[in-house]
Amino acid sequence: MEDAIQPYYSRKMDNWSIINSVEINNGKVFANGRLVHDTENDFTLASKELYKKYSKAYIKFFKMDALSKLGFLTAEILLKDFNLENIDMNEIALVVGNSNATKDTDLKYLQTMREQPSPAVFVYTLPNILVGEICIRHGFKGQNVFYISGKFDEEELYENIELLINNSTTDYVIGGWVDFINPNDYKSILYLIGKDSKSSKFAINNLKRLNNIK
Amino acid sequence: MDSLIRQLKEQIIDHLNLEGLSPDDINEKEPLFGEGLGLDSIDALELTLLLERGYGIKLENPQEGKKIFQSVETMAEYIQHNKK
Repeated sequence: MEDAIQPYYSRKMDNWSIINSVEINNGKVFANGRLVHDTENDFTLASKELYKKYSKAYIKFFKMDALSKLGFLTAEILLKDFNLENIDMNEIALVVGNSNATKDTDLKYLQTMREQPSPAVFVYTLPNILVGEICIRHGFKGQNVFYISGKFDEEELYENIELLINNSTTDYVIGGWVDFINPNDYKSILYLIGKDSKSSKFAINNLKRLNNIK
Repeated sequence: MDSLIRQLKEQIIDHLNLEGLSPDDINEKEPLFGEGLGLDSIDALELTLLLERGYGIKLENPQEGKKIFQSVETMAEYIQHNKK
């Protein structure tokens, strides 16, 4: 077809940067590629350690499933030194994916179905809930998407974020990967993308350089 | 009544996955919803199930829940009068 659909709003990617990145990888926490926390504990205990160290009182944290806790904590560390004042909350978007959706919680819900199905567990059987938890915590009202993919792929993430930036008025994107298999096998990385001349350029090679997820 | 309140606090922590809290962190007079523990509509369903399974009390009229679930204390009073 000759008349390809053009984005209604198109922006150059040259000015976009990776302002911050945080990775939580089986007990190790990296901020902008640098190790900042390391624990031998499994996620049940490690999540409490990280909550005490990096988060402020937020009772809802304890009600979340493990996947949402992982995403929530990654975002807490990502944004802890980032000033959200004077930022339009309608223009902060999230693009997050994983490969196991909510399998861990699905199995827990299956257990409750044998006796009494639990509404509190059921609400976490959709992976986009973790995006919602981050939005509620910080008051973000921008676009968001959660995608399921075979494995973490920086090129795919870049394309998804580029598509969003080119088709919206978004000022900032929190993008990445949050995957929870079990308390001893979990990985997440979130990047804060925006216009910041002091930071690394938003580019596939820089997304790759800043993570250890293979 | 005190032991029922204590038991109820433990059950609420367990059923609502409030694993970071201990019974002493919950004031039995504080509102369960909105302020206080900040529970939501899903938690209200869990509390309804708790009454049903833990105490044999089935809420016939959902509107009753508003009064019953005001606080741990109001829940305990309702259970004491209606337990089967």
